Amino acid sequence: MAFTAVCASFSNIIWAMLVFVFLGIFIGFWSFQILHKSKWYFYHNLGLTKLKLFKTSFFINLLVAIPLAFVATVLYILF
Amino acid sequence: MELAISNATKFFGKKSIFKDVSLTLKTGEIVAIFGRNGCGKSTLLKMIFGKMKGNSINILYNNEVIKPSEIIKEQIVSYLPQESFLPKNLKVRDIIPIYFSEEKKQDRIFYDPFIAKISNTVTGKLSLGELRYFEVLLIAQMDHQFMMLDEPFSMLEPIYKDKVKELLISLLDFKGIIITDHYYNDVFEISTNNKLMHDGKLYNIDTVNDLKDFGYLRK
Repeated sequence: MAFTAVCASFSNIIWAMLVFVFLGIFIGFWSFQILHKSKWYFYHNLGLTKLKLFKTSFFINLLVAIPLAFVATVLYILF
Repeated sequence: MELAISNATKFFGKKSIFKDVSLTLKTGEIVAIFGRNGCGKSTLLKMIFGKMKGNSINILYNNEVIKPSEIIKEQIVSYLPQESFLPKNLKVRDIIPIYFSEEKKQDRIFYDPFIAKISNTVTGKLSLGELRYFEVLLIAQMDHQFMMLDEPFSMLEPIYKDKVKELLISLLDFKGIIITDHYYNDVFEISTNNKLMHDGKLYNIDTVNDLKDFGYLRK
């Protein structure tokens, strides 16, 4: 999210949303791997593999980003 | 229920950690694996759990081949890693429902006298012993048929250790357990089979004296 906010300040909200969905997820997973490596087991013991977590996160990000990008575009056109 | 591991081999670069290791775990058994630091105990557990790739490993689950990558998905083995695996910002009482939807199971943990005292505390503020006890309790109550515990007695005060030992024994009707820990006396009290990893091989151990013979303990 922080990374997306930085992108939004340098470009526009649409680019920020694209970064959030397609690049942010990789950065998020990479950061988690570096900073919270042992915490993967919290999910693994629940039957969640890294791939499943990745797919779920991607779709949640997409579901959040699409309406936000839509609202942002409408606001941009209006104002 | 049976989990049979064979031909487990792991190299880090050119360095051989262990070669052609075999191990069988059945319901009702506690298999203890002893060994000096860096001998490959945790590596073996991670390979069985599918978390670390080995050079080779074969796993049979009730005589059927299963890939290590299926172990997490199929929830066959639960795993307590050496390091704490719980998010530091969540309270104990918030973690329990994430792991158990059934109220009965939740209550079994909530009403544990040790847990009742710390249920409002975030895990990041628990003492290492309290945290370890809570982690063991969580892993132990899960429905997986097998459980691997990497240093479950680490940092536990004696009274917590006794509770953990009682708990593990009570689970043996429906679980098989692998334990690695340097607290060999505590492990010997509850284990049914003992093994020592030494020079990349697993040896059967019957008594504490065997541990001395292999140089794990001082004579």
